Amino acid sequence: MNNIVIGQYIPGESWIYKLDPRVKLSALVILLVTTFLLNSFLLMSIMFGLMIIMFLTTGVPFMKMIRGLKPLMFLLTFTFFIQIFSVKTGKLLFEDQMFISYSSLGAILAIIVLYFGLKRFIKFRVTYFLFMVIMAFVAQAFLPYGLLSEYTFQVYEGGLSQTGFFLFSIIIVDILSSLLTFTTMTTDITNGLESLLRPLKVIRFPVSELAMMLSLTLRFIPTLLEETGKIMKAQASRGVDFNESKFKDKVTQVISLLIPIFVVSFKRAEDLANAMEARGYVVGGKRTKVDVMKFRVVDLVSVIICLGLLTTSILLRTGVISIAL
Amino acid sequence: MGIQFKQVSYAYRGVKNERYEAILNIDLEIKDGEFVAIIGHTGSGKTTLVQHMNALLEPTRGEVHIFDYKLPKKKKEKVGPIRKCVGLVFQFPEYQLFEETILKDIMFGPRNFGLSLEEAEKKAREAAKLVGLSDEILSKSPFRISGGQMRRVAIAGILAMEPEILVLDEPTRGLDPQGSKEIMSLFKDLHVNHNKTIVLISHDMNIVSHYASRILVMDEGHIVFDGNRDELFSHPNFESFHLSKPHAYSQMEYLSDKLNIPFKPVYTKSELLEHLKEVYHE
Repeated sequence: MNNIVIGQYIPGESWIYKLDPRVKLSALVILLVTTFLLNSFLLMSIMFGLMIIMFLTTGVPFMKMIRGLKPLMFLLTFTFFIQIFSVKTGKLLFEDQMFISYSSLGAILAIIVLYFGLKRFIKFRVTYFLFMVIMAFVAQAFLPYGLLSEYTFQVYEGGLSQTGFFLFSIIIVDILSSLLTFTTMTTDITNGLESLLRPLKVIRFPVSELAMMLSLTLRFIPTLLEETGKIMKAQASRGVDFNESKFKDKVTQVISLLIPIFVVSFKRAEDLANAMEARGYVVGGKRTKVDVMKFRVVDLVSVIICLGLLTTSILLRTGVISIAL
Repeated sequence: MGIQFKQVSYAYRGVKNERYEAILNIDLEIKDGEFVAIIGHTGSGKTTLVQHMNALLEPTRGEVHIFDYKLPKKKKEKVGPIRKCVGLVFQFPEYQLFEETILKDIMFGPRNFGLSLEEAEKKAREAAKLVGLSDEILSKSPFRISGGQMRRVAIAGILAMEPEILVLDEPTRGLDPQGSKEIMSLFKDLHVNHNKTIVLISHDMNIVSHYASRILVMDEGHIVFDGNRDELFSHPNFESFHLSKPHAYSQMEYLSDKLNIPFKPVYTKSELLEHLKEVYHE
């Protein structure tokens, strides 16, 4: 319970840590828009290359970012096959006869069973998953016995580049968003957000209250988790055990956790409200900040680069300029 | 039989996966019918130690024997029976209340251990009587009574399970002097008249010296003292335990130092008075 870290901040010293959080937030938005404006594989690869170069200069461990991609693995594999089967443009790169037969279906079934059976003992899950997917196709290619039907497995250039396009754009989104959370503390993000949303004050949107709520929520997640742990233990010593009880009992047991947590969080909220009021917090009052955000040269350079990328992609999209393929 | 700790260590995992030993190589035996107090400053491992008695934590090294059960338990072995034998009252137990009525809340424990509705209600009413809750209050909501009453309800909830051993983690914390006196005399009654083994964690040296027959002092995850109160307060390394002395005891020390009154270990005001009378009548 103690090792839950809110946000994924990794302490560091590189240029990206010195950036103004406002600039980081705007840069994220600008670069995401830029990425989605691109419409060819070549441009996406260039963008991908640029992002990788940027990532390497920040000093954030590369493996951390890769790990963030893991949950997307199944989705990516699925997209890959959809693209391969549906897009049939460009040069034909690979062709093979595939058999759907009793033997190959049986083999696929065995692979699925084997996959879920051995899953617990395998350390490199993603590699293992990919290996099993490839095995499923190998089985189709080499087991024609008890034939039901057959089809031709064709890989076209268009399909591959389309897959690459999607793959790269997903990785770019992952790099950008994880860079923000890896290199910015949650307090800085909320401060930056507050500052960026300030213009909305004109239409009476409660910006600073929203930012305060956001930071309080984040602040109290670990506290509430700790309280939950205590209550779980207290109820456990009264005989609540989720591993050992029947489903019917589990319902009451969940209630025995929820109600005390509810009561505790209300009590906490009340205490907090009193403490804030005692220190002179007034809703809508004018407040100063301990950390004043400064716009430095590095911020200016970043903003110029981001805007440059955005302009280029808009111009490319609208066809004002074009690059020779 | 009671509870036996054999070379027990427990390590928490820190943020960077480093180990932090909360208790280290504890050897301890608590016999049936003892009234044991565990003292020591915050973070010395008291709470971690008592959570093993209830199988809430499993030792990372060593063994704990609780009656016929053994920790770490085997796979698929149930911990329910252990928790029925050893009732653990947490710090601020009033936060564990959740039912609509007080009676239902007290019945929650016995019901979880498989008692029928009637039996559980009978046990609950007995427990409520034991802690001094009147019959009228039992149909009220547990959130509409005072803090002291809530604590009684929570304690009754544990007592209704009829544990052999009662483990109390700072039961008097946050109560007024009157309330803590009443709660403590309840535990004394349970110890004397119902023959329950009691393990008490407390910071209040007056309470500890008054009620406990055996005192354990913990520091940095080790048991640094194990003995009775006379041995504790006259221990040559007493200063290193960072503990205070009971009021009457330090008054006695002061008097014997300033007025040369012969020293005798006393723990309550009346004992002190008796002693003074004895000295001056001679």
